[in-house]
Amino acid sequence: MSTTRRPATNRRGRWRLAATAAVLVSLVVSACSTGSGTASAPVPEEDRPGGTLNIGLAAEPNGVDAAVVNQVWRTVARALTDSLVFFNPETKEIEPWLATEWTVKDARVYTFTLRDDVTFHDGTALTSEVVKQNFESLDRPGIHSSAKTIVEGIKEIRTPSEHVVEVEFAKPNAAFLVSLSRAHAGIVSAKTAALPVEERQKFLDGSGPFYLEEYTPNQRIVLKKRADYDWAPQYFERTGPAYLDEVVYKIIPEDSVRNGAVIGGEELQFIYWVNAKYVDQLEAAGLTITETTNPATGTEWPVNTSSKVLKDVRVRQALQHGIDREEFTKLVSGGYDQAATGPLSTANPFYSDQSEYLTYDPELSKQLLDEAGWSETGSDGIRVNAAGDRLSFRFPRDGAAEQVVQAQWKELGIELVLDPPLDAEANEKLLSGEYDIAYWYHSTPDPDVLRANYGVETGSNRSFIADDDETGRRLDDLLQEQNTVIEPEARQKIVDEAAQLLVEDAYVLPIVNDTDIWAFQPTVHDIQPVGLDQYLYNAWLSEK
Amino acid sequence: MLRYGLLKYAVRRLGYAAIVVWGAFTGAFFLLYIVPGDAAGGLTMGASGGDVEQLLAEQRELLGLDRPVLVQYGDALSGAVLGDFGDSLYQRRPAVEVFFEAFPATLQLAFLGLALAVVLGVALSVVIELTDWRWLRELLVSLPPVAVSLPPFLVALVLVQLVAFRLGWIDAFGDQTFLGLLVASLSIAVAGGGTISQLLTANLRGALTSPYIETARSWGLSRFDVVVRHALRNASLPVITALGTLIGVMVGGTVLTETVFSRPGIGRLVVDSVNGRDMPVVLVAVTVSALIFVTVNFVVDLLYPLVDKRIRLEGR
Amino acid sequence: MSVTETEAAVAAGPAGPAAPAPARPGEGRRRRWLGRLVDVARTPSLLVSYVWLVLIVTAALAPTLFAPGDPLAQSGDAMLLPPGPEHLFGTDDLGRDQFTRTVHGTRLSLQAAVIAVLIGLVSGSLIGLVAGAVRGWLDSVLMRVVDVMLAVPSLIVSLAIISALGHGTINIAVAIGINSTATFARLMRSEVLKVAGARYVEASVFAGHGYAYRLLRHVVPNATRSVLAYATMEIGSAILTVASLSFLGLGAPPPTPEWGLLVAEGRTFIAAQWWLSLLPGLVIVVSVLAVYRIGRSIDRGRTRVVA
Repeated sequence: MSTTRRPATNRRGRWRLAATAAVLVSLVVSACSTGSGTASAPVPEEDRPGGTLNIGLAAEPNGVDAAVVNQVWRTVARALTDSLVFFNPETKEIEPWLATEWTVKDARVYTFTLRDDVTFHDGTALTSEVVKQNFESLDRPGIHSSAKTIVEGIKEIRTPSEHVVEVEFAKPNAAFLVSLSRAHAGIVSAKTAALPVEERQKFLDGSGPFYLEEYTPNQRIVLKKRADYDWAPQYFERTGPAYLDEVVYKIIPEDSVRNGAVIGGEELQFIYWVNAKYVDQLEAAGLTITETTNPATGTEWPVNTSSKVLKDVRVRQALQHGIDREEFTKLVSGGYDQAATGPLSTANPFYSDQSEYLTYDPELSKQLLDEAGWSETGSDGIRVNAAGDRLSFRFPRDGAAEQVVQAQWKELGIELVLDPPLDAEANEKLLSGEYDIAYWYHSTPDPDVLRANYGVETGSNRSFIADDDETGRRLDDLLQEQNTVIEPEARQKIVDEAAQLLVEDAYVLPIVNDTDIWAFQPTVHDIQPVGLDQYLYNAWLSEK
Repeated sequence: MLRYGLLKYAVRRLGYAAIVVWGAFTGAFFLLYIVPGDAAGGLTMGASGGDVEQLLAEQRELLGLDRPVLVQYGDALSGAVLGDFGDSLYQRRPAVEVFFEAFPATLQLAFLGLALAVVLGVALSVVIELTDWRWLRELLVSLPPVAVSLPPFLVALVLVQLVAFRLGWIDAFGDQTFLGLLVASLSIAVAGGGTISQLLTANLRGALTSPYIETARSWGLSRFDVVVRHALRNASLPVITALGTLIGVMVGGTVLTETVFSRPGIGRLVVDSVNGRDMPVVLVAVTVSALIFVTVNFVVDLLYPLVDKRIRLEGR
Repeated sequence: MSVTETEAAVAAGPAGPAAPAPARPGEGRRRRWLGRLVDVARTPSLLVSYVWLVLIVTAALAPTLFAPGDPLAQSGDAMLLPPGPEHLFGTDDLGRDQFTRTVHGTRLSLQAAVIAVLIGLVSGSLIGLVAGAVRGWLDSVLMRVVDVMLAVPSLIVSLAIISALGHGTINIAVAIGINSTATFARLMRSEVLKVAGARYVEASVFAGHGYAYRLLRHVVPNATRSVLAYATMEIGSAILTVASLSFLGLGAPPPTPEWGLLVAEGRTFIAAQWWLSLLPGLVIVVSVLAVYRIGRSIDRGRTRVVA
């Protein structure tokens, strides 16, 4: 085993290098880069169309509309709907899509000019009125909050002409354009927009390169190509319909079965969000492996700063310095993920390096805990304070990753109890602050995710910042402010300051920048990642 | 006189059956009601941002979960009596439809599993009885206990690896061919076959030592004839009564098989529905299973006197 | 869950079940124990079963005897190693020694199985005893309740109970225990009825003994044997059920090792690292096998459908 492992490790090393290089290149090179990351074989374009791509899903998404459920934005929903604007993952610029141009006034009033040739699958045309109805339909009960927050704070939507729509916010919202690029705000037909929320889970009419043919819960979701599609973003460097005739998402909960099926290649050709521990096996079977870094935040653990023990910043900092992030990435992802160096992902356009506050320093941690009054150690190896309380925290997950941190903290005398809630009670428990530490995850490539997560005035306040927490208040001011500033440099400065506060005072424990690993048959080409979203527009099969 | 007694008995049993079904329905309703969490939580799972309390309250109002519990129960019960269990909270269509869409697949799996278990169990027992080589016999006798000790999901996982990936005979998931069904049902048939074989081997041995088999032997019947034609028939009576139990176990075991083989069916539906607190679907599942339970019991009770003349109806 | 039984020694003719011999405490006890020991020694499979039982009970009480290492120690340099002299069962995806985890998991697994059976045994036997002894309307009511318990699928009850109590092996045990109550109640009731009708109990009636005396003196001891035998076998089934529920994601909170959890966690690696799941699985199989074998021997060779 050890002999077979070595080349694999080398391969991984190479991949990591390649990935880093890709990030570097994309940071340096400007707008006019060459679309896809995968090197395509010299197959002429006319030979590409046709075929069925089978993609494995690990769980039933409970719907197909990203505005209603949270599991489908990167897959099904992305293929069904287009957005007003496109986020170019290389330039990190916002580019035209359904909107050909736009103007922004004071980060508050957004005026979009729409394409005039776009139709939905039901044959109706895209107009400013439809866009208005879309946004309005997102602000009602039952819509998933990721979608709802995009349109929150809209004061008025005007439609001066058939193809011009104007959105006015009450307060500045600098993140609006990037948010709009996500599938959560994918534009649907007027009829779909008018549907009751529960209907939208089962059916939707978009203007995407594919339309929904069949949705059988717990079984499969079938998408078919739209022959008249002709409005892909420029990034894809071509026009016309998608290459694939059909895309089938198959729901297969068992990892071993999903892996086996994609290795076989008949039943599945593509899987994503692959556990890094399977990569050796999948690579040995001849599959292609690619990876993408989450452009928003990565895996991060918000700390409940209102809890009795974690109110003390020293305890929080002890936790922060008690995590060996290098060892963590090695154990959990075989080195695929990168140790976090700040609250934002390295792929976020507003990333800044805050690694000096994220060092692994067990001695410092112990010292901080001693100072905070957790100086005695009980018979079970867990620290206690003068009142006899044990230094124990609850966490809502129990996977391999959490077990690694659990083991690392145990060395310092900190107990981490892994106690996942069931789905039906998850929200109440997570959001009521019942857990001392939680997990979060965001995928929108904008610094505003920090406000969405930790903002108090607006935002989710995941660190439960209390009214009497002065640093917390200052943090919130910064988080609110950054969303009112359009000018990048000024915004960067504010974001940096907020990022530093977040990790220095350990409101959040960033763990890793996680990497989405894709494994697919070599016959599959050019599925393009934009952030974590999978764009199937250019995808084609060399054997059909 | 006898017919009147039978009728009275049947009516009384029917009353009991109704009580049991009602009890199961009510028990399940309140059990699911008192456990923490509700469908509003499940539906807004992963919600980010906003006022969560308000979000949950909105959902509860949409779903009618904010009404007093007795009103909800009354609605559910009166609806159920008329066969209307309401819409699945997640799939937004009649719960009965959701359930019965998945039910045939599970029944198919369970019944084929049972049939396979009977075939395997009986065949094994007969072979054991007919084998002359002591070592082979010992080996075969040790098989049934091993079969019942195997964790069923492990059997299923190994079957997928072998039959689907190594041999490539079936699709790894959702294989709709008969062979796919057969392999999937094999994973639940292993334990059942072991049970049947254990029972049957013990009974066969008892039957083969009984005087009338001695007589049959003295007539010069071949060993095969003695075992298969005569002893087997007598020995299988207790096995038949055990089948009632086994079919319940089989239906219960399908959840593991359905998960591993990614087959449609009520197993996964029920797990998801309980976890997501999809009350209407759970109530359909409970009611149907209670109905099956009372029916099977009713039939077994009616057959009992026919099988064993010593048991009179009044005694029960 | 239910139970069906058959006599191995008795021809399946109309002879009916043999009346159990009266329990006679006193002089014969020592000789019976000796005879039983000889029986065990003469039956290799039974001997092996007892030896295995002793082994796993020892492992449960003092796991460090077999595996001195730390079951939670992770190692980034020893992930997913195959079985070898260093790691008998290989290592898992966090580099933990799977053999050590299996040995240390014994306690929780056995504990859960025993607790599950104890709950079912105590509550079920009480219900069955009361129903069988008192008869009348109380019997009717109790048996209807038992019917309802049997009619609701045990999976639904387990899932609901576990979501009420939280994840964890002991909570699974409670769920399994509650689920098996009905079967124990039915079994106990039928045993009580059977024994109460036996000739030597009738003799006791003639001797003028009171009802309660008869119940305690004759009925309970004689009914207990079958129930205990069933309980022993139920331990085996409970081990399997705990494993199955762990498989469905309701098991012990990590990192505490538990057999079912080890199999469930290791299953995702079954294609490339089969040992992770199959070796702990083998331990489960052997343990269940041993418990079944012992249960059968207690029940004088009677075979039961345990489900």
